[in-house]
Amino acid sequence: MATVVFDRVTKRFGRVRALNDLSVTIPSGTILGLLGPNGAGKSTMLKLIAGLYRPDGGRVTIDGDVPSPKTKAKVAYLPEIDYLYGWMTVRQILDYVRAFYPDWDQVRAEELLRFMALDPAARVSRLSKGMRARLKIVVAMSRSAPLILLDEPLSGIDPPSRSRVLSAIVSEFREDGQTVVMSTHDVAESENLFQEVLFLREGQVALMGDADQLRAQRGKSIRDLFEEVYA
Amino acid sequence: MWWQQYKKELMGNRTELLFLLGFFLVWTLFLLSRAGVWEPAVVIALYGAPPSGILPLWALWASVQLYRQEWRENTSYLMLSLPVRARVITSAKLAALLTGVLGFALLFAVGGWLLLARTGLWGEVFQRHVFSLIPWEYAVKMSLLTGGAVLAALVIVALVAQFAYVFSRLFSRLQGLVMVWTWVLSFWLMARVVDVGGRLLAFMPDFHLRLLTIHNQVPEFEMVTVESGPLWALALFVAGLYTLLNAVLERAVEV
Repeated sequence: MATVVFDRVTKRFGRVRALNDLSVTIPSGTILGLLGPNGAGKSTMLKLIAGLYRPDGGRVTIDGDVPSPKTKAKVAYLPEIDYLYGWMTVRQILDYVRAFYPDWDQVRAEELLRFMALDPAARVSRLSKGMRARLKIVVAMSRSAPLILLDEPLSGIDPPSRSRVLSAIVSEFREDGQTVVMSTHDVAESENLFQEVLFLREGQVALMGDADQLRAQRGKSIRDLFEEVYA
Repeated sequence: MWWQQYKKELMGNRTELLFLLGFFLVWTLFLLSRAGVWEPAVVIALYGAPPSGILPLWALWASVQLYRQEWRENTSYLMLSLPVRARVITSAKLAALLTGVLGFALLFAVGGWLLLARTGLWGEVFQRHVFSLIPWEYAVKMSLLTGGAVLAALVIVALVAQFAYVFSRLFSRLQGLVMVWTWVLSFWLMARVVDVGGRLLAFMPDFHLRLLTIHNQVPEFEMVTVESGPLWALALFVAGLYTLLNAVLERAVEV
């Protein structure tokens, strides 16, 4: 289990404040939807947790520790962009990543490879965009990591691949030991996946809560709430 | 983990490395074909020219390239999210660079020997004249010492280049300028540290080197004393710079 705490975190890019004095606690053992339009600060939040950005103010902690090699061992991070070595084959990518993570599950990796219909001998640079996105999912979900960060995992993927990706996330999620944080601005497709939702606006929390409770209290779907919050 | 990282660095840069080695192999073969046609001295001079010019430049370029391509191709996301201390990454990159240099040095040595044999210089100079007077044991020892010194110098150049690049990543603008200035200032600081540190560490025991000179066809050994203070200061500076490189990569730099 991993609990993530943002304590008055500010992150600036030049004059723009991507996160503005943000304080929030991401509870463990849940699938949290990190929602907001472009520029809301979703990716910045995930990169801060992964230790790829450093806060300009405040503190981010994972189980009480600031991001370090120790916390990185608990985090499986899937960025929106292509971040895997293009010259490697699918198999070489899996072998390379596996060497660094004791929680790597080879059986699950092989199952996911088949489920995602990926050829282990194929070179990454020659895969289609959808295939590369599916490979990123395989890399992230083949670990028994306590914290899984998915940054727009459906971005640019064709509909058949989207359903595969969502199915993989649901089927591999372990409620007893994992927290999944998934950012998206495409709420309709993934709304049923989320147990918790966090709406970000201009680097601050606009709304946060249990997805079912919010639906019941407001009498609206998460998608309708999204439109209401960002109207 | 280290081995996987090292293997990744080697495989990821194999195209450039093979191109460099291939170019030098073709150059060597060309000069071998010219042995007996051109003057031996010209052939040997042409053989030595590319390594003395290209190798240091390649080492410098490759040092920066090992990091630059991580950011250019967005694989810095993977590199920086690995749960390892920065020294695993930095040492693997340095080791990959040294592997390339050693491969080049090996090719150079074999090619040089072949050329010397083919041009007849080996027999003329090395066997009949002065070099035949040098004991083999001494020649091997001095070759290793010289090779080690060249390698150490390349490591220092590579380390400064890598630090300059990684440090420049801390800035969102004028990264090229920051890199060049970091490079210049690092060498200036190194010279100051060697100068001042050398004096402060003057109490360290000196090194003694047996140097061979030949007078009237008679080899004579003389003992040369080398102050160790500046060398210790240089070693401390290099260790400090390497620690700083790791600290910047692990604690400060972003994707």
